[in-house]
Amino acid sequence: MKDIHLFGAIDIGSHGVKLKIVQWQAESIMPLEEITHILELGDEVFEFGVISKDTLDELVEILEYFARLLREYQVEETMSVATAALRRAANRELVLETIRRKTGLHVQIIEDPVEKFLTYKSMRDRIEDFDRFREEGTVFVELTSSGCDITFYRNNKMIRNDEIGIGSLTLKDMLSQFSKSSSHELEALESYVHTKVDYMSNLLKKRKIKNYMAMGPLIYPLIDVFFEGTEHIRAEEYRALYDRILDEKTFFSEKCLEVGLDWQEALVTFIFFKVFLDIVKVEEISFPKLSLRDGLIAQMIDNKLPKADLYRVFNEDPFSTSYQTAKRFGLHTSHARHVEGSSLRIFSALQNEFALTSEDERVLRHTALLHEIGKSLDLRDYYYASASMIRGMRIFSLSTRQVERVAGLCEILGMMAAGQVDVLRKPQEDLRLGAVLALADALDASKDQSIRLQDVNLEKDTLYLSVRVNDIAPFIQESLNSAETFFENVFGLGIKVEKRA
Amino acid sequence: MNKYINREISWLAFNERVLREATIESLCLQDRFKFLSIFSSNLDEFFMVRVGSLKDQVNAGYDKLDLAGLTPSQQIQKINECVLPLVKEQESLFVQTIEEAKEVDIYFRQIEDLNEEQKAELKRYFLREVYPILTPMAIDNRRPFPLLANKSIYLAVELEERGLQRLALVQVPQNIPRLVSVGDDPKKQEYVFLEDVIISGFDYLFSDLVVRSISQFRITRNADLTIHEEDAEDLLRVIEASLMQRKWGEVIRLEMRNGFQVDVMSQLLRYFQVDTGSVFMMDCPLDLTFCTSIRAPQRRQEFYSRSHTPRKNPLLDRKDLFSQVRKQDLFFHVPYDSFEYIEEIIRQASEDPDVLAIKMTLYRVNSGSRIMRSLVHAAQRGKQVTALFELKARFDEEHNIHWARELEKTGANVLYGVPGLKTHSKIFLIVRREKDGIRRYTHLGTGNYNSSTAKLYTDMSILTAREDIGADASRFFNFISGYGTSKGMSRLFAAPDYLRRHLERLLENEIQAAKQGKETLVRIKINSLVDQRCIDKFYEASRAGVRVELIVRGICSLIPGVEGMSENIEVHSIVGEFLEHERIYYFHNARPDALYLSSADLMTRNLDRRIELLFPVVDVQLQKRILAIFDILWNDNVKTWVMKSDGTYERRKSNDRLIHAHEIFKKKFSPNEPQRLKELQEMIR
Repeated sequence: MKDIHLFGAIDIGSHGVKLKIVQWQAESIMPLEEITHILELGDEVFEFGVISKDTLDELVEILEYFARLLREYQVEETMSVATAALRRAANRELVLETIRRKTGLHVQIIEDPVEKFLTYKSMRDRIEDFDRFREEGTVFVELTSSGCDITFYRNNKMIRNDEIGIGSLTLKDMLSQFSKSSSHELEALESYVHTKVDYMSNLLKKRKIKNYMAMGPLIYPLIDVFFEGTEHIRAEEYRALYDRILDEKTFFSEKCLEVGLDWQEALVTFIFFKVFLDIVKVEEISFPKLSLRDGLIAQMIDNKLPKADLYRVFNEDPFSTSYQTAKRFGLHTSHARHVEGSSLRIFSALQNEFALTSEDERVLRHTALLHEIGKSLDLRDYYYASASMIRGMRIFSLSTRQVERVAGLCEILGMMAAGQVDVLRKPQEDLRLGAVLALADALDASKDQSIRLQDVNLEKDTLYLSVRVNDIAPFIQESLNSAETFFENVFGLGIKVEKRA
Repeated sequence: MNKYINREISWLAFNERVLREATIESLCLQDRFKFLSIFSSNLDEFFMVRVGSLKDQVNAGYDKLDLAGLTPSQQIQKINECVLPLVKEQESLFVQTIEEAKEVDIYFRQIEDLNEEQKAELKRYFLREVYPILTPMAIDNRRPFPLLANKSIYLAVELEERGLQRLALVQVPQNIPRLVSVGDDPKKQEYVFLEDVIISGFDYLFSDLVVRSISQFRITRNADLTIHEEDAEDLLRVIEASLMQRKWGEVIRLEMRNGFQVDVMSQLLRYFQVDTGSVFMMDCPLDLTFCTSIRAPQRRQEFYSRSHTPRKNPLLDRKDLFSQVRKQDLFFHVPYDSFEYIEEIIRQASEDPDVLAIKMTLYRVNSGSRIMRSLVHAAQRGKQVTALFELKARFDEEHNIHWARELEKTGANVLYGVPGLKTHSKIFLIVRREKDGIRRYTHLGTGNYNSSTAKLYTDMSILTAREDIGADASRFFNFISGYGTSKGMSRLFAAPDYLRRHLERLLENEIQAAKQGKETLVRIKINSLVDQRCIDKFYEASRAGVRVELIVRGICSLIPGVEGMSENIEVHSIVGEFLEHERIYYFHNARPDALYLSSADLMTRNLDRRIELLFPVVDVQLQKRILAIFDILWNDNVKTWVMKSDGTYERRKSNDRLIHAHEIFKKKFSPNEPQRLKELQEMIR
């Protein structure tokens, strides 16, 4: 099968275990298998903190079946991931080991920002006119049992990805409390959601949203029940149903119970999306079925065919959100962009020789974009302030460990600027990125982008930097000197700056 | 007036139609004997299953009224009232037919009519073949009443020993032919019944006793298995246990040959705890299922029916059926088309190095199944084989268990169904790696993967390489494997979740079309129509002006032709050489698919308690062919019965031009020759 690739994706989520097998050929994806098996791991972990033996046995049984299908199709590459439930389970290591031993599947636990990144990456393959949505103002709202994720796009870029700490379980709890004290508990819940998303609502109103996408495992079955699974609903239809629910709650609960839905969770979900409908004031709600499985497949296609660069705009989304973050802190983002560009050039020249990874590259870029956000708190020791702020942030597409690396790199820059020799005790992989960033940062010490790095070449023991500049100011030269020294100490390479007018 | 016919009474009317076939003088004797036999075996199963179930309901105190407003005990009473005249008619037909059989030199002899040489021959036969396996069972108060086998004939023998009366039972063995051939005249076929041979050997069995009387009887036991799957740890074990139980279920019917001793009869009634309503006195031999084994001397042609050889299809190059399927969907109409092609594609798949997986549902498997051998072979060659065996396929469990075990030994993935649901769908899926990627070949049918029944039952099936159907088939197999759901299928509709809903939607669509003044037509061919919701929807369609043409072979609880309720509905039933078994659904205004085939009848059990499939016929040429087949069936005037608005049936009156669907399909309807369609349509006109 020439130029045909088979990929498999397994997602062990809070509500179910899912498999997708696809055939990829000539930029088209043909699904071969798609299974969702309900298994409420989330509830169990939420209640007991661990995954019980019985549940683990069931999980293994399902995964054995999935593994069988993967063998059946002779799938060449599979990504298996687990999300929140397994991440929170105290016995997750045992679970992963048991799965590996009994099914041969290596499951990786991923964090929320990584999950979101992959999920949105699947948009390319799941939404036909995705570029239009990215271009126009579009908000994606996802509600899960534990949280809510809001993402919006404009000018073909992801502008923002925020998490709000209210999920359907919290909302259900609130509804139950309101119903004890009021007969208008639905209206009370609506006000509560409005309060919680207040800061976001102003932002959304300003952004002139044209498209509203509702997502999540809770809304899809509701749409199946009340709107026959359609992918688009007129806003007035949605509101009409809401009005009917206000008048006749039993009709809603009976319908939900008929298909085995938790009607209270369904109700809060319905209200939640209605609140956003009021905020964004669009004429239609869409329900795109983006999934983590599709995201994993997109990732595998991307890895398999890097030259095709099919997902370029999506791979850029994390950096545009970091860029927007930097902008929100009132920085001169042109400096951040400049450092990002210069450090990438230097990184490319060193990548093969020093086996630098794609993760290194991503960490480097995010650091370049965010290294000065601390200036909003502390103008003198801003690298440390940046590190501290980054540690409290969620960076779209990065895991906690990777966020820690970004913060650590800011600290390395701070230590280097302060001339602290101890800096060399930091992990080698981070020191290397720190040295690259220090050099790039020094090249724009004037913050006016007057020095343009044009070419970088590694020859023997020297890294040649070709820069376009008339003259290098003494204070810049001083910065460069200390960056070069640091670079030599880390890489064992000399630096030679070649000036071109 | 009641809107529905009781299903049991409707079934008995069907069996009456079967019996009526034995009255057709133009039929050869072999066929007439065959219908007498089928009537008997049908009735046995009816008592075992249906009457058994009603008895269970009575015993459990369940007195809910059925569709026709009858309680279970009222239904049993009605059944007994209906069965008696039918059995009497069967008796007289048997007597009449064996009389006619003399014209082809077939004779049924009494022992005393035989000459000495024949008697000696029989004695030798008795001592060699029969005597060693006979075990008389003494009946007395000191020991429990022996457990008697279901559907087996027994001889109750009153004996006298030193002035004391005793009773013994002798089972007529089921593993020896019921008809014993005697004499060596090649021009004659002379038969003696096995029970008479046994009686003639009583001197050997009861040498020191005096035989006072001999009575013949046969019992039918309740075989309505209710397996509580949810409670069962191992479904296989439960089924095996149930098979054992079936032999010793409650006695539902007691048939006695006339001449029975009253004392013996009352003793048996007491032991079996049956009421007199369940006792049937027979004037002819018990259990006429032996009639199919009657043979004529020297293969006399006038006795035999012309044997039917299923057609080969020259267009199907057996070397590579896959390439044929890639070009176009293939259609099979058994028994007119050979079932071998279905077996062949599984065989090719088992050999083909590019085949990755074979998945199949199996409901009734025949003992020497080629398909099963191919699946075993495929699994041995390392292919991923998944087979779902329905262990609750009534009366076929033993074959299924045997093959399931054989396949399990190879490491194949053997499944035993979804708890609580009987898997009745007929589907296989072959996953193949080809140069342009993975391709799925799906076979969907209305009948079982059983080469024996494929010679007798009329069924349709389609083999397709359409990707959307293949994707649905994969989803379906995941669902029946216990992973995922049947939700999200685009072309296939699975019961219990989606099939009923889709059919109702299609009917509703036709109703709306009628209301808009459009031309409408619903044509359905099924085995049974019992489901109340469906019947009510048909009534609604009729009232809206939708023309509904139903071919229902067996039970039909709908009443057609009633003004204001069903005047636009016509119901036919075809009973003939082959058992009508295809399920065809056509809705004139449905889009994108108007024509479907299915494994499901319109019975509540099929729609709500079974896993069934409804699948579209996508290929336009095949749609035309199947509709032409329906046309021919609908216009048949040789084997068709028309249901009247009082619920009874009358044979369709023949006009000057006879249309005999089975004969047309046997002779003229060659596969893949669409030009024949025109010819056939002309003929109907």
